[in-house]
Amino acid sequence: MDRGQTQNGDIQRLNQAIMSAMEVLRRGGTQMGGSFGGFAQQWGGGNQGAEQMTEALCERLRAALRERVVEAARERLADVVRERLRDTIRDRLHGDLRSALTEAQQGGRGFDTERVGTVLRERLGEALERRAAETIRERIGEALRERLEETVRSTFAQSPLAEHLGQGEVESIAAVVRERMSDAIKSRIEEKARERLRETVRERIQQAVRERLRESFEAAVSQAQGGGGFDAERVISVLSERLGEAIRERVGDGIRERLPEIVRDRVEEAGRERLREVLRSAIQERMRTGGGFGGGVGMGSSMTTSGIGFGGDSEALTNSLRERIGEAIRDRVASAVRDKLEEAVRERIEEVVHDRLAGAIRASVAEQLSLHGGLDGERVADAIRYRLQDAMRERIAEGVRERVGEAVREQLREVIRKAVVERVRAGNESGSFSGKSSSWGSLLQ
Amino acid sequence: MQTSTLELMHDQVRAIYRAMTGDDMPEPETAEESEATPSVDEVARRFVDLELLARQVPTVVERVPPFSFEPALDVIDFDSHLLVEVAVPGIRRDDVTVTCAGERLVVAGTRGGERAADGRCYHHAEIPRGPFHRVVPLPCAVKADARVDVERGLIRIRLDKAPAVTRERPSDRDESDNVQGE
Repeated sequence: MDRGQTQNGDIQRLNQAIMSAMEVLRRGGTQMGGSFGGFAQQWGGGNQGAEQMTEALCERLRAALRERVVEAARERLADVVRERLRDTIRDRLHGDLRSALTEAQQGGRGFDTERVGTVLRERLGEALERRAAETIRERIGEALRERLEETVRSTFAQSPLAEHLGQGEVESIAAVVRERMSDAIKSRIEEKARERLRETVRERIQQAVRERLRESFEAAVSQAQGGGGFDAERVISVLSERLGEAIRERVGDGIRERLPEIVRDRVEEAGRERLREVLRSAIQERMRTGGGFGGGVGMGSSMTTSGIGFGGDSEALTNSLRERIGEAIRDRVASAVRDKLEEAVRERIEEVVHDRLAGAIRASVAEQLSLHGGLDGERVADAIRYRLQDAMRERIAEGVRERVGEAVREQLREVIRKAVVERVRAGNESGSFSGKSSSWGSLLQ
Repeated sequence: MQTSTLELMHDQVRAIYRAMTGDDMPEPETAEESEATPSVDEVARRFVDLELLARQVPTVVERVPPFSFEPALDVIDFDSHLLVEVAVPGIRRDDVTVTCAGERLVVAGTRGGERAADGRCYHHAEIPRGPFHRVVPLPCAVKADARVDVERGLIRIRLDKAPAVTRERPSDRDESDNVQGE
């Protein structure tokens, strides 16, 4: 075997190897080391590595959400709820207490303090739990927003995903995850908060009444008798003030203790049920929009019937319409296509020069220096031409396809409409239409 | 193109493949006779495009040695000559070409090194291999003959200055004793 044959074989083998490696690079490999395209492939193909990456990211996010979001709820929500309850207690307690005291005397066994607690528990409890749930509903979004944003962003930034995607991509995926998880957590908390707070609020009211009623009542009676007579309203006011303080404290503490648990459970539930899906769909959506799914222009793909009835000599009608439409297409569509094409070719060449020229020059110079040991102007020019020609061909073809589609879409509908209207008018004048229907498809064949 | 360069390129392609897939590249089927052999230039272009694309992938950057490089060098001015030292680890004298044209020196060659894809598992691959090339503008005119010596990873090129600028200095004699003829 002579040297020339050996070298030819070597070149051919090298070429095949390059093609295989290029294919692997374009697909992104089977490891997690790919670029965006590679990641997309792994994702779409259900690759084990990508699944592990999602799983790991899910775990990290779950842990971070559990820790930081619960903390935020405790910090930012409990005090607001407490404040709102103060207003409700002030507004409601006087009236509820009067009813409770009245009911407590009606049992026939003297004054029943336990009965006061039970009545307040039911009446005031309902108002307080409703108010607490409303406050949580109003403020949970705000409490979650900031902390969730920071948590998701930092978790993403430290994840393996950040190594494979650019910062912008990671940010936008994180934004989608943040938004959807925020909605999921919020709706779960809104839904469950009242139910989960009910027992706490009621228990704490009864506890406060039990502990403080007797002492408060004695103080209230003593104050009411101070003026020489007994003023029942005055008793209720003092009692309401003292009990109100106790109820506010007990219920506030109860909510403060209970709220983190409620938030934690809901966050965990949302994480368990939604996070994986949210993460997966956010990445897939981003890849779809960022990956540029180039659809071809669907020329003539959806012609629908307009409901115009044709009848009579359908063969003649078909021929006549075909001729008219053909003529109009030749005149109007062709000239529109010509204009659009000229513009498209110019734009696409500019685009290629702008996007690719620097890279092509860099690659060509690198090629010459590294593989040919010097710069040969002719060879460099040839290499640049080689690198640009494919891109130019692709872009121009794409531009032409787009613009032809555009021109055809714009013009064709109008051309056909006019041709049909004219033909219908002519048919009506000559009485050749009878109202039977025919499809556009057959006319345009 | 030299067969050794082709082999290095092939080895590099295999290394890229392995870094991307974790597997060795399957040996291709024997090429069909009817299949036209692409030109060397075409294959070289495809190779460079592959290398450029692969360098965007972190795994490849970390685990596949850079292919082709510009070695670091020093140019030292003695009265009677210039000494150019080029750092290329593991280089052999036979793998270096030195050309001197006017006031420009071109140092080129190929560093083979160990095969990147030959069963080795690189966790980090930073030492470049493959062809290297440097063009050095010289501070003065030199004689066409260059004396080249390779020692401990340094290519040492002694270039005698053209007569008009030569100034005798005792230390020059000692220096010239060290360099070997090409």
